[in-house]
Amino acid sequence: MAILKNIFLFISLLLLTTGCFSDFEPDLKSVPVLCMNSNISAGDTVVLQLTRTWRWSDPTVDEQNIIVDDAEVRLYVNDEFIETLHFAEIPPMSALPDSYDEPTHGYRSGYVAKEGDCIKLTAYSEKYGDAWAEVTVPESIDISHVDYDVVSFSSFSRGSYHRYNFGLNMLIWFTDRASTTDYYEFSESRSIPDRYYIPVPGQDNDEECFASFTYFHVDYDKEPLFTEHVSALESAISDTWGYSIFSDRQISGKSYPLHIAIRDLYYNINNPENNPELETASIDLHLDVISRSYYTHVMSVWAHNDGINGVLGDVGLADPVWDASNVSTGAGVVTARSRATYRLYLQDIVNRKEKATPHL
Amino acid sequence: MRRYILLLSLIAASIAVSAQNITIHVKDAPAEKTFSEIMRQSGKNFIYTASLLNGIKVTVNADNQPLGKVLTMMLSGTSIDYRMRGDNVILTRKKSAQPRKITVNGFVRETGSGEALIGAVVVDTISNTATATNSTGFFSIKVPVGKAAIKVTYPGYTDYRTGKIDLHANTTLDMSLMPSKNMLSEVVVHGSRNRALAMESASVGSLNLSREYITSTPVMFGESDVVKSIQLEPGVSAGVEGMAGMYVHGGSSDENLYMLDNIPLYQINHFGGLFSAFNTEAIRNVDFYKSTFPARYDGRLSSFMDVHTRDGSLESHHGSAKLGLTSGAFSIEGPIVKGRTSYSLALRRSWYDVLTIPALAIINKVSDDETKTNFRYAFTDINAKITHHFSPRSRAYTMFYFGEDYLKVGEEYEYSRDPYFYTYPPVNIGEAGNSPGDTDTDSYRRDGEKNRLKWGNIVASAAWNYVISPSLYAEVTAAYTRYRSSMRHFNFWEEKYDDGKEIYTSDRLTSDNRINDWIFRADFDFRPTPAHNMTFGAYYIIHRFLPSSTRRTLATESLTTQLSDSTSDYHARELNLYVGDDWKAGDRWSINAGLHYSIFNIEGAVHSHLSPSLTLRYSPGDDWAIKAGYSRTVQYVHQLSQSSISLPTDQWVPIVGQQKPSTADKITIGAYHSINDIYTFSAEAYMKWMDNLLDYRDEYYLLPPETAWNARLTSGKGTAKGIDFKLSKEAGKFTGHISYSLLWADRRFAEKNAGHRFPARFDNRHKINILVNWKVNDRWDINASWTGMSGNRLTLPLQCWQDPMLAPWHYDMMLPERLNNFRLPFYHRLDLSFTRHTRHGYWNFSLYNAYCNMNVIAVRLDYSNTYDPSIPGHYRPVFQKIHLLPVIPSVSYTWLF
Repeated sequence: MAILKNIFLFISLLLLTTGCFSDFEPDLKSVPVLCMNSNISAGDTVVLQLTRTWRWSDPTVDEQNIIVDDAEVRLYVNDEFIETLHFAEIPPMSALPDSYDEPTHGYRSGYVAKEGDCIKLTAYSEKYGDAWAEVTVPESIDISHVDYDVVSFSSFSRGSYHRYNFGLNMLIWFTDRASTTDYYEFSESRSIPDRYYIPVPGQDNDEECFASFTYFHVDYDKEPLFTEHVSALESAISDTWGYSIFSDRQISGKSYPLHIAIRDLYYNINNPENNPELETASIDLHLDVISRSYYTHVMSVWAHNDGINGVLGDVGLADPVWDASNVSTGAGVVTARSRATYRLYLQDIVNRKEKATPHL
Repeated sequence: MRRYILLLSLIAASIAVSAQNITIHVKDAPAEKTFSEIMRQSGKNFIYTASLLNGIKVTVNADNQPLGKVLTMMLSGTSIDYRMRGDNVILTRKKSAQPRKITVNGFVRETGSGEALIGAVVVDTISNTATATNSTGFFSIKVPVGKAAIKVTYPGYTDYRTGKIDLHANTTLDMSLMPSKNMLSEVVVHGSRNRALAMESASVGSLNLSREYITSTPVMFGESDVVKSIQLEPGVSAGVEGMAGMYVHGGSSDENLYMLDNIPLYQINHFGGLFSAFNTEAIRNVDFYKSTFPARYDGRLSSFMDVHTRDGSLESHHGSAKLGLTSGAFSIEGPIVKGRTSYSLALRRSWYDVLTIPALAIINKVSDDETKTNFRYAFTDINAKITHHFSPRSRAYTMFYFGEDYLKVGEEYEYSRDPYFYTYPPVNIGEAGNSPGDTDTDSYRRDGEKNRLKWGNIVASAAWNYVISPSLYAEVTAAYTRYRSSMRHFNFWEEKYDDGKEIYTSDRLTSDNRINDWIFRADFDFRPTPAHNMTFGAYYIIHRFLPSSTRRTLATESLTTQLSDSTSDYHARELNLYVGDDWKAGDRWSINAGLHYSIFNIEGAVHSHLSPSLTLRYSPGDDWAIKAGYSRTVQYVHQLSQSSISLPTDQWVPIVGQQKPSTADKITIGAYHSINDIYTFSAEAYMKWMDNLLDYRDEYYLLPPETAWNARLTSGKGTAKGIDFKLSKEAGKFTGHISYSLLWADRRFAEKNAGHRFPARFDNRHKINILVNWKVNDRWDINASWTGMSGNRLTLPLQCWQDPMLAPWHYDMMLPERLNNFRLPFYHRLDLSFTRHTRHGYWNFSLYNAYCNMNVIAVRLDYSNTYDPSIPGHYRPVFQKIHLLPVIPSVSYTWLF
């Protein structure tokens, strides 16, 4: 919400519409340096995207021509040299579960990261100098169980086709480790079984078998931990939409349920009979324990965009908020995470609900 | 030549022994004859003027006595003195004994209102002795017994003259000056307070501003403001355009001590700094010191500003009511007991909420949306004062100030229909299915957010001043001053379903910052001789600080947790002792010396500090003065500000733990020239070294809100140097000044900017101010103010790095640059103000930024609007200057009654 932010924006807009802008090129020199981005996941191989920084006003820059492909990149684990990484195609950097980003190019290793690894990456380029960063892969914490309520349930059936419409109100339980300072990110994704066709005796067309679902959105608004980084003044002027990162400072050593709701879920299933694989459609709830570098970087992005310092800094009324980096050059961030996933099968939800409230 | 020398060369050739003793016995004998005999016996030459011994008779009985003893015996009781130089005895007339002096003291006040006039010049035109009144209008002057002619001058008032009067004993004279007819523009001015400060005092960089001067300075929205008037002075940077900021000689905003009748005021801004907390209607006048400081002041590094409030008229009730574009003000004053007790009351309040509250009520009413929004902002100032005169020697007052900004903002949603389909009504799936009813339900969802922020001051003081003796004046004060910033945030979510199940989460965040001071002080003004004006005194402050108390309460159906920062109240005691003397050491020299000793005891840690100050003034001629000074100041409390505007998050904190008091050492030299007593020119150069400064460290914003406040800080050093030039004219139809200042200011902190030195944000290298006040006629005044200065500094990111795609929002990341690496373009602006006096008041029409030069206030990184297919993104990334604030006209009317 943040009505005050809207009011600020209105005033800013009013001022800016009465104001004006003029392009210029500041007479300040700047030199490109190496930028290292890597989000290391326990169980995955280590990859690094190595790029160079660029001057903001350089119009020739695109995603490809900032890639540094001639650097020497080395991987160390627990202070031991493992290998020199090779330049290859790597997955997109996006952390979003449903990312449509294209693969990109970077440096790939054969090493599979493990929880507890202290991973150091170094890079050297003749043109842009050197850079290094270090991160420890955190240990995962399981989601112990999920309590949920199915609300606003409705269903429709015609033949072998069934459609269900409902909301989910979940309490996602986990227990924080008392011995360490932990940072978390919650996310969810959908697991939808492949569509397939089976021949139907006596019919020309094969029978389509599928299970799919969509939902309007996942509601983070009622989970207070997702706004714990917001100060009292910022609460009035800022927005926290989309942030599901938190620390354990309020729940250290305790069991805690995240309050997450899923709204307007539509679940469709055709021909579930004798096709049990269709019933594997699930919502996957992910609790990532993330490295401090991950947490601080995301917090800095929030502070930059929505924090009081960032809002004022953008219009020259405060020192700027820098996007946090743990790379020696100040560009890029090397992070790590360990994921625990809890799978919530939609058919189980439907079955439970229908059992409780049978069709009229 | 009146004086001529007669040499008697009575040589006794036969007697040449200088040490010869004398034997002589005479009674009431002519002196000349007696000297002849002594000359004969001693062999000495006697040198004297011819008329010296006329009519002088002497008596002496000496047997074989040394010459010196004989001469002493002989000349005692006469007006003749002697000196022996070799073989010569020189006879001279004794310097005439200083005539006995008496003390004339009293108060100088305004006729009618009885308001004390501070800095009025009191002169005995016969003995040519002068002094000035102190902050309560008190003066004390030594004059010879006999004839005296006392004259009192004060800018904007007609002179007061006693004529020739006979004075034979210490005398108290209370004098009242009549405001000159055209007071607003100071047309008839004899003498100038600021000219006197420049030419006759040893003080460097001090200024006295009258309420009329403040009122006549053109400002934004026509809201006259003392801080904005001071911003026009050389060496004072204004900070962000339009704001009532004050950055003196490269200092920070918290390094200025603002006082209301000598009591500190911690929060001096309203509306983010757009207005200061000083309601002009309540002000009598203002003393401002930026270079050398009187001994009584310490506790801040850069400047001291003491706002003296109005006592109220002892004779009649009158006041004013003002309506401006942003606020309204009302003031009234008058006698409670005529001639003895007076009151003064001034109120000011913004009235934005008068518009916003009904507007939002209408919007909430007519809106189909089930969202209820509320928003309210207001600032308020209340000044009240009661003054009682027990006797000409004894006076007491009590003063109260309340100033507050209040912001309340929130939204609330309530849905009585099915809570899970709030985005759009649920779809009726069809006859074969069961659909959720969205109307026939007991379920509901309610969520919302409430924020309430309040910040401001309360000052209450009671003072008694008493003339202990004609030369000694005392004031005893007890006061309470409080700053408080309180922020409350409450976010809640409630859901209830048809099956009776309830879901509840809430997040309550409270944040407080407070200072409570109890102050007890005694100040003395002692004028033992005309050459010395001494001040001494002591004050004791009981501080109670709450730098930050942040509490976060998380409540859900299953868990309630509470987090709070680790700090609590800090109790501190501060003792200050000071003594200072303004010594006129002859016609050409004067010296101002002071010592201020302070002890700050906080949580068992004791910091003590001696702040010396010394200023010398030399006048090579009547129209010239040269000054040099050194001062040291200390600061135990700081305001931590995250931005260049005033926010309720700006915390006042004491030094704690390993932190040391901030100190500043400053040397100043100045040259002053008065041209025909009309123009005053000054040039003041300074160098300042600051140590143990506090500021936020790099990436402090990444720490959680409840992190201990001092974990976010770093300490460091700063330097500032520069020179201020000013040519002012304070008399005549046209008044005003032209000034230029040159400044270099930088900072260095261990944990800021990676430890590298960086220029201060308001390191405005060149600054020019021109202020002109023109009294056109009895009805019209025109005032113009032009400001031109090197732009503020800011930190401009230059290099980008690729987004690692971890956060919900994606953009090109910015590589850190050195702090304040870029200077904004030269800033210039003309403000005009036209005042039309009517029978019952006056209209003020003003134009802020009259020629609409939209100055650059910031730089942003954006994309050009022009489509360019030749570049990868099709829109060219550019640095853009943001030009803001066009011409802003305003009008206000003040009704005088």
